[in-house]
Amino acid sequence: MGDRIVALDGPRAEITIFSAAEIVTMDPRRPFATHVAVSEGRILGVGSLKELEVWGEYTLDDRFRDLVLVPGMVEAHSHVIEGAMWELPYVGFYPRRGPKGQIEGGQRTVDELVRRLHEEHVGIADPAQPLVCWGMDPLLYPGERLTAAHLDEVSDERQIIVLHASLHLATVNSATLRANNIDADTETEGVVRDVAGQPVGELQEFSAMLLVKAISELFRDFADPRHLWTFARQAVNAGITTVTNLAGAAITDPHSAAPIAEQVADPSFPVRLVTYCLPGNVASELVAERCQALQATNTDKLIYGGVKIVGDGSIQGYTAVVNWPGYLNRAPQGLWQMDPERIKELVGVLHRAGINVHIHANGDATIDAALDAVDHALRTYSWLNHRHTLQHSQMTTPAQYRKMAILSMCANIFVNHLWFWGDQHYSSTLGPDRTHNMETCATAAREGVRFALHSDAPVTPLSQLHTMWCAVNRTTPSGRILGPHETITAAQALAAVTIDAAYQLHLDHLIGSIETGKHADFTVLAANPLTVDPAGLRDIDVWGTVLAGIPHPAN
Amino acid sequence: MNMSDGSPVPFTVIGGFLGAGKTTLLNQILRDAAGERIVILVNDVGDTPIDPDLIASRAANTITLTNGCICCSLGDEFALRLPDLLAMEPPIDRVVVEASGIGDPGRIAQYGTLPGFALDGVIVLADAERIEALLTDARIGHQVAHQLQRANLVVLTKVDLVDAQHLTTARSVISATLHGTRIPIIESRFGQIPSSVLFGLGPDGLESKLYDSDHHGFDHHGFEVWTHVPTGPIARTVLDAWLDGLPDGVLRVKGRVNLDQASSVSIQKVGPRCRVTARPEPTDEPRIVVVAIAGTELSERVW
Repeated sequence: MGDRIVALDGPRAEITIFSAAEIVTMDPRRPFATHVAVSEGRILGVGSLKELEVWGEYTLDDRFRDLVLVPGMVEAHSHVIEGAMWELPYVGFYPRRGPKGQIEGGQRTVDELVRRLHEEHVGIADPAQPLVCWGMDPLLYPGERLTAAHLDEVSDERQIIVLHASLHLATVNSATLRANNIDADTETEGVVRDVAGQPVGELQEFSAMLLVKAISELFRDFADPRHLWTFARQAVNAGITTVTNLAGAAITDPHSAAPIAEQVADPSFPVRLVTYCLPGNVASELVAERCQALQATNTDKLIYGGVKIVGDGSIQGYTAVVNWPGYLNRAPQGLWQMDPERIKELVGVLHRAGINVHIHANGDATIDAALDAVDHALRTYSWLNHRHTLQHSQMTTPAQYRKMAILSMCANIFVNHLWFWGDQHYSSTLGPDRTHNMETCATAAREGVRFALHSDAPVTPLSQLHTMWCAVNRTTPSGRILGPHETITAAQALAAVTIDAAYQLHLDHLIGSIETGKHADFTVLAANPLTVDPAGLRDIDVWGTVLAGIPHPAN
Repeated sequence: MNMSDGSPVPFTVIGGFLGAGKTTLLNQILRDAAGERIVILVNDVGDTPIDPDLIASRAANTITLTNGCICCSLGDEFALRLPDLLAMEPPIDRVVVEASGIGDPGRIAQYGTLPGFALDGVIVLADAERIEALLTDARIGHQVAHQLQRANLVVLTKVDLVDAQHLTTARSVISATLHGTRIPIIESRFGQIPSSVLFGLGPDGLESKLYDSDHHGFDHHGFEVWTHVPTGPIARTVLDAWLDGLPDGVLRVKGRVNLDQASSVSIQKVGPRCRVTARPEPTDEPRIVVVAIAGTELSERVW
């Protein structure tokens, strides 16, 4: 010993050093830098050019010299059908950016909607081809319920189908009703009728929607793996390098895994995909077994994170399970999607198997059940590093956050609700005081719960700059500020869409900050989100992303 | 459509909370299929114990039985695959769907109204031992009640496992839940329910076993089956009045009768749910079959 260490003379991987106007690392040891060196898809070093030159020969890539790099953003709750939706024209109230970079939607009245549909209609030559659109949210057109009569103004010949934003409802024109034999004799409950018993064009729930052949065919196509590419494209456009599919089917349908793996493995697939599978009604031990089998196939880009449990429905659908005093309109307390005893049993089995569990819980009663399940699991079996996560976490109280902190749970807060439905929650679902207390990021932070922010795309648009903007400003379309004491700083919001989102996916050692050894995943922005006017956060231009060192410009 | 005769495939939903006895009943249905090719859609085949003697072959999500019946997993998108069932060869005779423990069986029943299927009934099971505790549970009680209220027939199961006092309590809490709905409550011991009650009267065979007389029923494990063969046409208003007036002990009515020389109706009643469908042609074999709890007094016919 004591000999000099001799440098090996083998071939060396190429080194690229990216320069930027500023690099926000989200590594508190070195929060800011000007250069990042990349080799073999990983971060070789962060600092000044001088500091990085020690690694030897390199290529300087200065295409980002006027731009800002932040860690590749992580969307920890989205759905792969975001990709499928963009095969259809989007006709929602709020405009959205589509995969080609186009802005669609923004139809503020039923009249505007009908005009937009007419434009789409005249653009299709074949009268036999149905026109199917998506994104209409009836809650945002109070007093103006869309019916077949409106759509008949567009065409009485072509089938016109408008899927609602929830995807649980559709409104269709008379031609669609006729073509599918939907009439006064149709038995299906979800067919909305007038006083004379005639269908008015609204179809509620899948059973009624599936009466329409074009909808049935469309839904069958949703699982096609080609939609993954549109989903990935949407992620790149939004500056996201890791997306999640929080409703994976590979546990209930193991055959569905292989075609997805094939697409994601394509070197040009520009995003990492983390999947949490639904357990369906599969027995708990089998859920654990299948999940572990999937996890054994994990790669750098396709990661089976664990299991997603759906506890309840949604607040705007009055199906989130809420504690006293319940909904403002005295609607029943909500609907469990899984029996609380089964939640407890399933969480217990998965916890013991070392599987990370994400529990969809909107209402505070469901949140109680989720916390009880994790509490019970921890009493039975010690696993400190579980990072079980409350998904949506919309009504979590301070006491619940304190309990979550003790249980080492994470939250993923559906902060986009403040903007997209805040005014409706205020006036209709929960009322003013409890709407101020929705999506309480500051309370989560104060009580010591690590949290992420999400869009639940396609429920709301895939954009982590927008979710950050919601958490920082808490503004509604009518100009209200909901819960001004619950605003957080841009730095907290950025952590929530990078390092803390990675943490709840058990990926914070690989992604979420610009730190030596991690994947070279960056979000490239035109401005620094920590220093822009907070009101303008959502308007920051996204250049695109870098995934494993490879730049992917946005459309 | 059932390709053998073009008639829609009967669609039955079996609901009830976890532990209500759904699996036991499904096994009975598979064992007693009596020549029918039944497709049973269960929550998960991997989790459904099926008598090994019955199994012919096993694939990932499907078990094929030696008697031609098929048991497969619902999956999250089962509704999208329902049309595939109609294209199966040989054609299927019946679909039975197991609702999840917390699910609304009435909601699943709506898929039975899709083209090619005919909703045959929503049967909701209630465990005599646990139903009171479930209905009074602060968290899920309202959802369990809603399941019962969405039934066409409620079956009280495991009555052989409880004492008389318990059974009375179970009946009374369910009756209170069903108040005003006219949904009949029947009892099942050892998971047994006659298929005449479960499915109405099967496509063939079963009817010929019936007592072909106006005033005597054929007793079948505590149920009675009545067959009436009308001698002439029955006016629609008279028929509707008779159906409306049937007592709550009547579980099912199935039949086809002539309204006049040129038209007929088919009748399908299960619990309070009644559907009378106009047919543009008369029938050569008019007949009304009634399944009732033994001892039920049928109202006087007025035709």
